[in-house]
Amino acid sequence: MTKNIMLGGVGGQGLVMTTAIISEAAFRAGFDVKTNDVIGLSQRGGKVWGSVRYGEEVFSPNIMPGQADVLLALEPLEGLRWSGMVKAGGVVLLNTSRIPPVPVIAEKAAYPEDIEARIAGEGEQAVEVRAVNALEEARGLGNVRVVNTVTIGMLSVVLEDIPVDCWHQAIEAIVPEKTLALNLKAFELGREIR
Amino acid sequence: MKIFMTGNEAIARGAYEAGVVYASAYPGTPSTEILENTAQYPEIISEWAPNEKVALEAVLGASIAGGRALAAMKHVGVNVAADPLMTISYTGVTGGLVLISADDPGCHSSQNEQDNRILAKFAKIACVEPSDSQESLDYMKAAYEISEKYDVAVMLRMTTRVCHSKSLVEQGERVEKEIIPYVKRPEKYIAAPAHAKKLHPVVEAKLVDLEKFSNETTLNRVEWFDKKIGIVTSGVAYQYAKEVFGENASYLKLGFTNPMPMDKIRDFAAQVEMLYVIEELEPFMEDQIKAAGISCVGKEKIPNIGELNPDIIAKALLGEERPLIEIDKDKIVGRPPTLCAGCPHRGFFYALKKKKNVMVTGDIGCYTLGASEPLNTTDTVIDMGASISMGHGAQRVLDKAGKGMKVVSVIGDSTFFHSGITSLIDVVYNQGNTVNVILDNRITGMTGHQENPGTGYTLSGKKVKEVEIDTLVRALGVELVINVNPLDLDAVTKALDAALAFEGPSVIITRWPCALKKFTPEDIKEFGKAQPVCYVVEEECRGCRLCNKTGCPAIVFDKAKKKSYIDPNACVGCEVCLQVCPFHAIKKAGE
Repeated sequence: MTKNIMLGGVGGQGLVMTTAIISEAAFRAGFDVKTNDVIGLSQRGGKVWGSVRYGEEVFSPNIMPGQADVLLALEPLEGLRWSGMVKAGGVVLLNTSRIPPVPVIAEKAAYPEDIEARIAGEGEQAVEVRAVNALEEARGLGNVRVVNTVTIGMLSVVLEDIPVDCWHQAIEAIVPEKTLALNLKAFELGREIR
Repeated sequence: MKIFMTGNEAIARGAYEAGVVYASAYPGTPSTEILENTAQYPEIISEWAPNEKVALEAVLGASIAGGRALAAMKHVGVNVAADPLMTISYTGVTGGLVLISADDPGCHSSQNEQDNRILAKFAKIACVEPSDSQESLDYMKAAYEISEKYDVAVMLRMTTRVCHSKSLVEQGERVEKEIIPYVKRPEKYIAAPAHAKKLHPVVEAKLVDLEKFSNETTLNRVEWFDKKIGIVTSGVAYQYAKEVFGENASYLKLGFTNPMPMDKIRDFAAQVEMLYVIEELEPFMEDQIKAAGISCVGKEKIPNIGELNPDIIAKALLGEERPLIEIDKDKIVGRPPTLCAGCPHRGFFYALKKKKNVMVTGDIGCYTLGASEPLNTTDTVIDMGASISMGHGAQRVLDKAGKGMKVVSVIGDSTFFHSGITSLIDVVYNQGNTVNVILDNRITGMTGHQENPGTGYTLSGKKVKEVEIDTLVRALGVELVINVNPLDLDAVTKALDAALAFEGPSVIITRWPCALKKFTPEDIKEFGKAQPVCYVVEEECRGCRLCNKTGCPAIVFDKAKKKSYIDPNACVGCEVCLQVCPFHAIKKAGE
């Protein structure tokens, strides 16, 4: 079965590197992998998304709506935006640290409240939401730049078919060398968040 | 061993393995990373050209001199390069020549979503279309063989999804190609009328040979499964079709799409009950299949607008609706792109917004965002360089209308080098009367920081003499040239006042690095090191929100407290908000 991981965030948050680490880990676990990133105009503070699909043989890099096993949202509003991609019973990993979009800054729209509950839904429509202020967690480790690695740690617990050493190898292959130790620490911290 | 690559990385690898010696490009999403990656191979001389026409011409020169060469550009870049392109089919090539056209279905980062396969057909050159990273590498190598065997340029048509998605790739080794010794061949390479007349029938004969090749090549392959449905498809649409139909359909997967393999298609169509054509954007294949009298279903069900995905195909052809969880769509707030915190363009646009009775013609780059909330300054954006030339034409008519409206044309440094220079010559030569602003942020910003003739560095990082915009525009004959720091609002206002009052063409050059740029030693010398951030002194803030109206994403208004707040993680200390605050409530950290 192909596993589908959807990612949502804001341009500049490091979604491309996050996607790269996830796909590298899946690749090292022996799967066929395809990914998507948004690059270009949208990186200027706009909404960005990515996808990782892995399995025996993957054709489309795109995930169909309602087919994502996991949504990794680097920002809560972006979590809400992409939550329709998740299948009922799927998992949504949410960094609760907000980045207000321009319409909110311009006071032309309100930042939505109760995002966790809105995403979680009810009954047959329910999805599992695991929320954490990853920015604060990263700050606690001494560098906010490892914020996404905290959420990758959370993701690694959900994706049981990728062994933990593949995640370590992927992080080592992709993050700058001088931040490796801190990134591994952030990853372990993320694994403890349930 | 397989490795994980984007389509663009795989193209660069393919070029390397094919023995390419020269590559030239102008950056443009989604093609930019191709040259950034060829530059990683010392065997390939890789260069940024000032525009796509120059890139293609340089590559043609390299080919005529006997080396394998590639030009890479986004789809609209091929429009700029169309002039040489339309004649390359006549001349043919010496060393293999591949033009990579990176189309952008869905306009992710473009002003339109044209389908450049049509340009390949129009230009009478061959076209190949990979569907993933492995094919991007393999088709590059195939394209060079085709190019040299048939004496034809090859368009390798990518799309955003193939350029930027990553998949597994088996790499090979580089095969060095000897440079073909140069021989003078005026009858081939001087496309004067007498030669062109003789070359045209040669082109037509080549196309006949290429169609024969198209019917025979394994680039166009059949995958037999269920024969009730047959699908003709190409590019990433093939992957989507496989995702949706799996083994419930048979496929004719076309990797070589110009000329089309009509015999192969006819044979395939005869063996299936129902023929679908699944392709992104225009009915390029479908029209030709229908014209050949083969019945098929395509664009009447599958949209020719926007990017395709498996969901669209499943809905269109199978009527499939997936069960979706319900979400509160009305609670979702949009998140349009915005100028970054500390972007030097913000100060300029903020000052420009105050000017009344002006028309602002804009251009392609990050500063296109000067058109959006809350700056709302720019009136037009069409294509590279158009700000200056459109502005000139507009000023002519506005002068006739006689209401004193003035045009301010706004263009970035890289875009000015691309095609703003000739536009400015037009203004000067014809004694126009526009204010031309060159926003020099010391880098090509939008596409992710590529060097350009004004930065003083090449693609390979070599330090070179920079083209000085000030010297250049004075040499063109512009008499009023004002250099200004765009973060100094008073200075920008004064510059605009002086230029608007001036009779004749004027140029304002704003010079400050992109807020995201990694400063060069020269930048540090000129602009200093990182600035301390700004903060709001809460007791002094009266909640007037003027700072918020600069549109800086680092500034948020706290409704409960009725105070503005600056996020210290986002602020870069540009001081635009500090100058805007009428109550001096914004200070620099450490003050």
